[in-house]
Amino acid sequence: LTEEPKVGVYVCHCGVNIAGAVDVAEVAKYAGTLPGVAVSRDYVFMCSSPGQEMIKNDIKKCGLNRVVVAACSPSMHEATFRGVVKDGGLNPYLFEIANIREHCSWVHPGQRQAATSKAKDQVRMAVAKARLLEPLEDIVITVTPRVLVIGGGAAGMAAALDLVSRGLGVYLVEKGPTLGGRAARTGWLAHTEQRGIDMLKWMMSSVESDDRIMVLTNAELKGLDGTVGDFHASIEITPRGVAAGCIRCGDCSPICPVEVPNEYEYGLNSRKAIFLPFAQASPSLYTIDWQSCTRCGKCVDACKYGYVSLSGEPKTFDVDVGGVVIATGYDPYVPPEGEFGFGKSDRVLTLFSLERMLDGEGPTKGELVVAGEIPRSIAFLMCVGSMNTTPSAKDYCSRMCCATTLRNALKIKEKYPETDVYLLYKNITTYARGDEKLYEAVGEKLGKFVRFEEAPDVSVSEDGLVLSVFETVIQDRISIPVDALVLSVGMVPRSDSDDIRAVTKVGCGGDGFLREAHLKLRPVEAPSDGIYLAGTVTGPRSIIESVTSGSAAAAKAAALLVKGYVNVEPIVASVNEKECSGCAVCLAMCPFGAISLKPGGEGRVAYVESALCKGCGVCVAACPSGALSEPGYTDSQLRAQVAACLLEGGAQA
Amino acid sequence: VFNQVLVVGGGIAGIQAALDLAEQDLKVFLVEKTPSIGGKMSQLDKTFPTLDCASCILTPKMVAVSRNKNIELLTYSEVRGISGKAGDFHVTVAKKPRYVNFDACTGCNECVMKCPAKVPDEFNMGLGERKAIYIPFPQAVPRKATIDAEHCWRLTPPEKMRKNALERGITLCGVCARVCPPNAIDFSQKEEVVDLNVSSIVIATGLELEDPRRVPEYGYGKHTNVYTHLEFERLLSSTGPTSGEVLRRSDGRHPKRIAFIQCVCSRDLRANFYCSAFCCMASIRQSMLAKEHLPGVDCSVFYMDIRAFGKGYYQFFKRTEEEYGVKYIRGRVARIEEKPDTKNLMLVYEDTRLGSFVKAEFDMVVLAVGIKPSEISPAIPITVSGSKRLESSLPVTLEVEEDRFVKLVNPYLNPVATSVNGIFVAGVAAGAKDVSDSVMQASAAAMKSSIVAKDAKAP
Repeated sequence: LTEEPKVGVYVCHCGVNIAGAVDVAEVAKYAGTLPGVAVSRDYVFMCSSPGQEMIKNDIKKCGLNRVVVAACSPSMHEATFRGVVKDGGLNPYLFEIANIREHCSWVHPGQRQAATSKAKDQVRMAVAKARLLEPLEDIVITVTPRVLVIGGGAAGMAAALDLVSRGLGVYLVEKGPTLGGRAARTGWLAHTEQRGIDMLKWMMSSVESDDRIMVLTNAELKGLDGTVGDFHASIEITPRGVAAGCIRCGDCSPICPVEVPNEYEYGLNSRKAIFLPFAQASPSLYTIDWQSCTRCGKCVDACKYGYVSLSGEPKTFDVDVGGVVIATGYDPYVPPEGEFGFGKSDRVLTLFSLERMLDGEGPTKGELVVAGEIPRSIAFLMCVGSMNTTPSAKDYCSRMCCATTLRNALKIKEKYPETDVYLLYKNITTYARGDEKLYEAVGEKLGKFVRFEEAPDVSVSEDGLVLSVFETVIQDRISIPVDALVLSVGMVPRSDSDDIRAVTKVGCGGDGFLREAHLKLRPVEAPSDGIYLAGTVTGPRSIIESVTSGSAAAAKAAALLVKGYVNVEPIVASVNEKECSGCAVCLAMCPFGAISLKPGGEGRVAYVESALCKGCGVCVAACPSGALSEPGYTDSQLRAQVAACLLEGGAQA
Repeated sequence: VFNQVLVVGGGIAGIQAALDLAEQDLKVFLVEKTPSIGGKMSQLDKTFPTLDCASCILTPKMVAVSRNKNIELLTYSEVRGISGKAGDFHVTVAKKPRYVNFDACTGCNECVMKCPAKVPDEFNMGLGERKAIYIPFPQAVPRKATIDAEHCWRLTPPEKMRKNALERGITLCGVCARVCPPNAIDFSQKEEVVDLNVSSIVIATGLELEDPRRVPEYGYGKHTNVYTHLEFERLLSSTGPTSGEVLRRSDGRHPKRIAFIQCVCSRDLRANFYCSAFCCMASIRQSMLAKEHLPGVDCSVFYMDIRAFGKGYYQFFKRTEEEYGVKYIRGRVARIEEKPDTKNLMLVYEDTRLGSFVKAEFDMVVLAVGIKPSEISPAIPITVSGSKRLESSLPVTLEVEEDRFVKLVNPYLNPVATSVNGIFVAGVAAGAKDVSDSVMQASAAAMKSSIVAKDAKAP
């Protein structure tokens, strides 16, 4: 701008959030004395509509060409005020925030004089910078109308189905040989007479039959470049070993000499190295587990159609997508050997294996058989692996295990009314709709509730188990002999979750689950734009909640992609190629991989991919030649700000 | 119809659904029955477990709604009826009279300052007063004055004054009209009915607090220093009636011992059998904040089960116990007696972890009152000519379950679908839940309704 700066300064009270610690009227009065300031005001809530109108009117009436708002953090309302400035007819980047709430009033309660003085410094600095602001134009990126969904469980499939219904293409990448995820192996669902697979088979067949969804099984995301709206994903597909023509005659499997524990039945039985994961697997094809396969070739000979092949290398498949949904799920907690007798006695099961046992299609055809017979008594030990129950347990509640435990206890009581069912619990967490009724129903069917705080001892003997527990209600240690013990294990992050974090650069919290942009208000968005999180990848969720989060993630991806373009802030680094010496220091410093080298100058020069750049400014500071700069944070703007801070005396002179 | 969606309810769920739909370039009508959007979250001081200032993270969303060109906001409005079918719903919306010219009002607050009629302030749960003409809270969206006709001396003269006024033939008050700079007051305003035509609908009508008097042994309404958790929330809030000072109703003093009682009207067959899902965490957070507001205060939480099931919740609970020294007592309080002299409260309970009966004195009691669905959702008359599933022309109604929450017909596969095709539900209208689960379900409902809206053909 060539014209003389005319700055409007607006000091917000934020109710008493700022006005309680800072004399806002005084700050506004002071701002009016600063060079270039044409108008300064204070108002109770600048973000409210009258506050916004005030700015818009002043831009028109007073001919303002720069606006400074002294209020809260830019992470709250920068977007709001940029919009206001734009509505007022100015370029939205001719706007600066002085954060006098988080950076001043909130941290200096009860120090009114000092806080007011500091707020004045902040406003003076913002005005000094604002005088030098230049108009900027948004970078518009054309988006690719396709989404990469990683994980073929309930959440991933829900996201995929919604996205295609909204006209977007989907690549659904599943690491295993079949869709369905853990939900497909879940037993009786709360409030229904259906199992996980009864619900999920509709989703699985819808996904498989929808030609707008490309399902890639035995596939893993190996690389992800690019940025919001324009990602490039590299997917490695391991050959299945069985061609798509497979008619599931089953001739290959019995002849296979390998026997390994069957993960789809949670180890209740074994499977071969060539196998069909489960009856409703989708795609409905046999598959080879290369980890256990000995390459003996017997299955190749057994297949009369010649569909089995032991050769073939992993292939890489590159796709361009506009957004990514990560729905890679969880692992069940596996107790350490010996914890509550786990691994020591075949009478100790986990909730997951119990569910397979109670499934008519499971290894025991739905019969509860422990140590060769129907147990006359069975105990559920809840919060195993959760809520700090043992030293190896996690410090969170796994959310779904209470309702799942109660549903299975009810099933056992219905099927085996003679069997005594004990439920050892710390807290019954039946928070979800209808679950309290489930709790009540188990009580009515004479399930016996035993409350513990200290983890019970389990002693294993030839003919049974004895639980010794301090019961907190009767305030006494009691012994409960049982024939079987079910450990209601919780959810933990997948053992391979480091891989997805490394590739997608989405971080995790202390619990190891991926971290969302904001726990409360942005539960399905990753901190990086264009990446969404669904299902249990962010922490324990029930199936219903996972499906909900899949649809929610789809809504976010759809919002990004249906319009065809996305606006990106132009506050990104740029290179003055004449000054650049090609030293590559910036490239080494950039945390976002946004800088590369290209031919130019006297050999090579730095190149900033503006869509990847987050505007952090690290490269600008690091550049020894002063070739890098960042609009909105130019050296002259920052120097003016620093000078304004120092020259007129700081808060504590 | 094409690309138009109705969202009923302007709380956090409705706001999120509206924003997600608008972001997909769909036209959204957001109908809210009170004068401002924001819902229950706007009354909260802080969120758990992040301890964000609730209004600081909510107001950007509210402002985003008001600034979004794809969203038409109909506040102080009620849905009176829905007919038609998925892809072509006809909705009747009544805009209640504000007695203020909406476009002219600048939200300057002059009228509010001069209005002589004082009314208990619902935003502060009746702990403070507002005027008969009012802006519900400072960050209200839209920030427009509304006259509460029932309490306005002009529109409904109080009994005492009416006779006198009639005899002398004078009209009462009208101060607001005289002081309003843009002359926006209009006592002749009438209810206005508008018809909307939309493809799909999101119901996000939220919750009401259950009446704590349904559990009479706690003496709410009788014992001065017994509060609901939402009242206590307003005491903690810097925008509340005490500017964030926790003071007793009886004597304006700081309490030294606060008891938090969980599951009041929840998990109680006399009121609601269900768990209200958020109150454990709300009380845990309130006990932490009480300790921060009042150093040295003794906080005891009486519970049946601590349901700290969300992300970071259990860790938060442990922090209050280990770092802040909040006492957790497992037991249902049997009754509360008020001491006539000090207005302190005697709690009689069994501490199940000690196996003994205890009588203990507290200065203040906070009841974690359970919630019920807002009455509005089942009350909307819906006459829809058959769902796809039934292929019938019989009227279909929005079914609710025994718990009075909107029935989810297919919770596992479509966790937002109601009994009426094309109508979806989100937030507490579909069952008790906290803010983050409401937000998530709202986005899911936006997704499903956007699919219906996109499938709808232009006539």
